[in-house]
Amino acid sequence: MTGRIFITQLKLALRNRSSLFWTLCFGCILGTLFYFGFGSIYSQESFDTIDAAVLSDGGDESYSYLVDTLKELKNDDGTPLLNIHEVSGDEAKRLLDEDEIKGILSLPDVKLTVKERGISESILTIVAGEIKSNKDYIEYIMTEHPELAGELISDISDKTQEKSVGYAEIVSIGGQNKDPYVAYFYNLIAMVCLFCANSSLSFVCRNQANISETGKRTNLSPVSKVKYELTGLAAVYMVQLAASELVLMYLVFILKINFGGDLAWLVLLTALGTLLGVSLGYLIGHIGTKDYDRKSGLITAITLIGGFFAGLFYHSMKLIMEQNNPLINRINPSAVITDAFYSLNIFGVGDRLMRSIVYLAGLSIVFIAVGTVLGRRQEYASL
Amino acid sequence: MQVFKGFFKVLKAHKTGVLIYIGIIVLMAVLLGTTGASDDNTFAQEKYDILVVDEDKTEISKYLTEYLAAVHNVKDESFAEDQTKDMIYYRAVVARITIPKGFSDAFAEGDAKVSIMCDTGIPGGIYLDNQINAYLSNLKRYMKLEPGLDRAHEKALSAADYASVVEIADGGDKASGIPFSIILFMGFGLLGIILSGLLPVLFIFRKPGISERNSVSAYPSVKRSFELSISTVVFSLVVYAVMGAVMVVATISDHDAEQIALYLVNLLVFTVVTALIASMIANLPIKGTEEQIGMITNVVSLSLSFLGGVFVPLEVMGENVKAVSRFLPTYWYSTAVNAITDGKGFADIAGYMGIELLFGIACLAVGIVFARRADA
Repeated sequence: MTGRIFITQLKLALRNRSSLFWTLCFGCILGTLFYFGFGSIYSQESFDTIDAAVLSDGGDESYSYLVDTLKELKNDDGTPLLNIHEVSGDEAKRLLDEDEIKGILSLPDVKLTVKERGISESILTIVAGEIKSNKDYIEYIMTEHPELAGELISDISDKTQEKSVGYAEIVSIGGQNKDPYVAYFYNLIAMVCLFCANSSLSFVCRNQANISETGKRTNLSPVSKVKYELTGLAAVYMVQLAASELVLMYLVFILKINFGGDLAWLVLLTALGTLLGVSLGYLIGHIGTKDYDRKSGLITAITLIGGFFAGLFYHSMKLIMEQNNPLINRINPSAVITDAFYSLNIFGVGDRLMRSIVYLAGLSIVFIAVGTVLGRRQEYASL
Repeated sequence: MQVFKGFFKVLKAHKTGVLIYIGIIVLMAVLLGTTGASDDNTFAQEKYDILVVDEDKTEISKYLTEYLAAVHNVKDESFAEDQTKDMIYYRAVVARITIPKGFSDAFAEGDAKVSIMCDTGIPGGIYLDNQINAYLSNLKRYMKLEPGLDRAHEKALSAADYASVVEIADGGDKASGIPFSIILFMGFGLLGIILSGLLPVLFIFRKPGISERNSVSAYPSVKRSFELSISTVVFSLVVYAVMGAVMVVATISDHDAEQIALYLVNLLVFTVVTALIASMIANLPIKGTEEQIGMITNVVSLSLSFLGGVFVPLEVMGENVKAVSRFLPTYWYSTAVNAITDGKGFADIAGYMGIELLFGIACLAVGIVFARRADA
């Protein structure tokens, strides 16, 4: 009997093409738009060697030494900090106007000319400032402490050494993909999972006597209501799971979005997210006696508002809620799903991911349990 | 005015979507206003939000913290490791700088290192690294020459003040950071509210049984169409008034009267365009079930907003994407908003609003074509 119910409900769920189409369509269209919209922003922010022009008093050995030193400046990872262009004044201005260089450093009067304020210009400012501070230091020693002139040379030389060693060590926050815009894709998966609630809602409403003729017959049949509903829910879940995983596969393999984490974990998290969505629809379907449209509106409200608080429209919103009202992030289905993906990316397989998985599974079980209890109370006469 | 009254009765029955989007807009305005989260360190800036953890608590570590506070915004609170990583990931702070215990002793021996935890994919960490190196190098240098550490610190601070070496070229001084704007977000709000409000009503009036009954009724079709149009205009204007009020309240302290007036004019034009988009969608050959309407509203509002520069600034989108975005009304809405923020006048933004209206007229024409086909 259970098998028969399962197969029948599976066929009905598969025939609900409109719901399936929109779930797939929504995920793929929006994913594609996200990809084209800001898929490359993070890579644009990455550090490139800074192009700068140096105008020096030609032929002076001390400035040649300075220019050579500038060319040898390196970051902690060994990449060159600057790419120096030794050009004439007019050529330098042209390069600056055409954004081919970020600044013009004029020597011996240490002056840096930039076109706009930005990170590369700020780094150039530090380099220019260091040259000026060395120059001021030399003048200070020669004026105030000429007896230390001998030490000065070794100090400048040591300082050049120190600069290559440095007083700071850069440590990464970890994570396979530190691009904050990938959080939009987490929210997209969360939305797709929660929109699956419409299918389980449709299933529940189809079996309510006050809403559908099938519901009248089902309520009068001798089949255990709990068995019937849980079996039907399993069938709906199978179909929606396939749709959600297809959207995930499209994002991972076609758009090549790096979610950060092994594919097996991503599939598991999507499966749990879909379970949460389906169980949410199951619960809402058993609340009250309103028709499908009103309950569908409630699901849309929960999904959109939940998405808003989880960062769908403004990617830092989840952090703002975490700092001001962390409870909302614990009960918001969208935030719970996105946090699971985020934890896998940044913290790997660890306590935080396991906590997210427990939340997802726990919430789903609670929704199904409450929905079942409410459903048992709904007799034909009470509807 | 039976059609007019009928329009609002149906709208009242489908008010959920409208209320959701209004709620989101108001919440967004309140949250951005109270948390000041309009600037998330995403784009190139000189002054970052950073965390500093001083585990050494000596004079040298305090002077280093004082220097960092002078050149950046140092947040006072302490956070757990997880929270810190969250903040760095979401760009609430750029880095956490940790001054380890024993730093002062190691500094005297030339072996001291502070730890900068950051996203190594962006140059913020390199910038901070260079600044810390510059200050500490100067501090060490002047410690040998000056009588006390406080004098050496003053000299090092003075040496690290590099503003005097920089000059901005003519026509430059453009700040490259673009803060998130509640005004831009209004575009998304308008799309969501008007589509979720108008589409259910327009589809119901178009339903086969209802439209056929209306056709055979004594109510002239011209009057019916007129009342439907008036209803749409009234609803759109009410939504515009609500959104306009929220926008004025949210921005009155940051912008002058002329700018706010221009924002309101731009918002009005966008309202008209959105209503015309809704009328086009309502004439498409689809059933218009509640589920379909929800999906269409989400897809259209989110797509137009993301591609049009509402959620993500236009400046950071690729040229290929912008080439497509130029065909969207949200792109021109965002461009007009950015131009007004930069101080441009009505003459400069009239062209952008004109293009928005052209898009609206195109949608109206497409809607009429589909309606004629359906009637045929």
